[in-house]
Amino acid sequence: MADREWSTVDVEDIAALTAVYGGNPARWPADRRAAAVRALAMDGAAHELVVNEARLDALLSMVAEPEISAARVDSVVAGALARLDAVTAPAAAKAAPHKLDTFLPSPFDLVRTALSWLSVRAPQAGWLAGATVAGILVGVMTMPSATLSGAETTTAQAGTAVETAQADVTDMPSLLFTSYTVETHAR
Amino acid sequence: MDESVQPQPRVGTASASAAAPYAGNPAGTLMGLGPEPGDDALLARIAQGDRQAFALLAARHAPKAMKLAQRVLGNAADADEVVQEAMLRVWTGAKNWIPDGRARFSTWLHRVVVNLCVDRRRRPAFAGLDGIPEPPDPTPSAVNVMARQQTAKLVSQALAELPERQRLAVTLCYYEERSAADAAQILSLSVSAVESLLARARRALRARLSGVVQDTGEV
Repeated sequence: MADREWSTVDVEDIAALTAVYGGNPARWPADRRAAAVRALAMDGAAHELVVNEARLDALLSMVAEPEISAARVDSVVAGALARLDAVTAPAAAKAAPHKLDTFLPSPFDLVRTALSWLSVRAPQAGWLAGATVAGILVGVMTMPSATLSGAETTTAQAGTAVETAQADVTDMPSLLFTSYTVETHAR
Repeated sequence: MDESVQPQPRVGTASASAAAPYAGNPAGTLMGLGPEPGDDALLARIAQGDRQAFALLAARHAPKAMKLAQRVLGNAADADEVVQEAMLRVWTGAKNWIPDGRARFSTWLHRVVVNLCVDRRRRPAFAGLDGIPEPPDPTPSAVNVMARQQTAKLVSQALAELPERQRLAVTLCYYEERSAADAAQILSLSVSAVESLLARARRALRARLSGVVQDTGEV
């Protein structure tokens, strides 16, 4: 509709124009308006088309225009101003680049995320994983100290240390952790 | 008409009171920019974090944006929230605004408002007080007024039943008096697509409102 010269228009053009824009010439595109108005003055059928579409326009115009009071505008603007601090200020965003560590999750966050994911996807697996983590933590905190001493001892002394460590370890978490420590000392 | 430099009706009061707390200057003026700074100048100041420039720009464009949002949403409270959200996007996005003369700020803002309205309409509806019709005036002298209100209600209903994009095209071109080219920019469509939406909307409205013909003689 927009890819031609509009020096003259006929009734079909008027029909197409009013079917889109209605009967109010003020709404017609500027490139077609002058020629269309000229055609209206000379063509009764075109005039009838416009009058017919203008009736629908009149109905549409009966819908009340929303009232926008100054108080409402004030309220919206004031509300937006009050919320500016909550959003990133343009100048501040340029001046102070974000620190990388702000966006890195802590180990606690990772554990919490994993547990929450498990509890959502498989509630029983979530409980089991939680209990396992708690057990390991308790084991670490109560780990025997025998393996931590005697780093510079001779081979014979190291053998003694191994025996001592193995004798002291009675729970599963400690066994898991002390065997590596004992081998390190044994070397 | 260049809206970017035209003061909006009834905005003067709003602008004055909204911007006043941030002004060291008389309301409506901004240091170094004269009494009526253009949108591009204000956006440049906003990009530097100037709240007074933000208040002026928001007060200038809020009324039309609110009217558009209320027409699309049919609800004043939701419309206000949407426009407030759109204004916050102006604040955060001002640094990306390129004043090359091709794009008008009001067109960009209305695009944001329309998109936010569409998002909001897709949420589950909450029947607020705005949805409750006002009780009819019982006085006999109000018969004509009531008939007119009834017709207006039917038209509103017919508009509300249009497919979303047709309703947006009608709102922009018939009620907001936007050109098809402007509406095309706001809706991210071609001009011919907007014209097609308008033609289909008119056909649908004519069909839905055919019952009104006998009562009012309008169609």
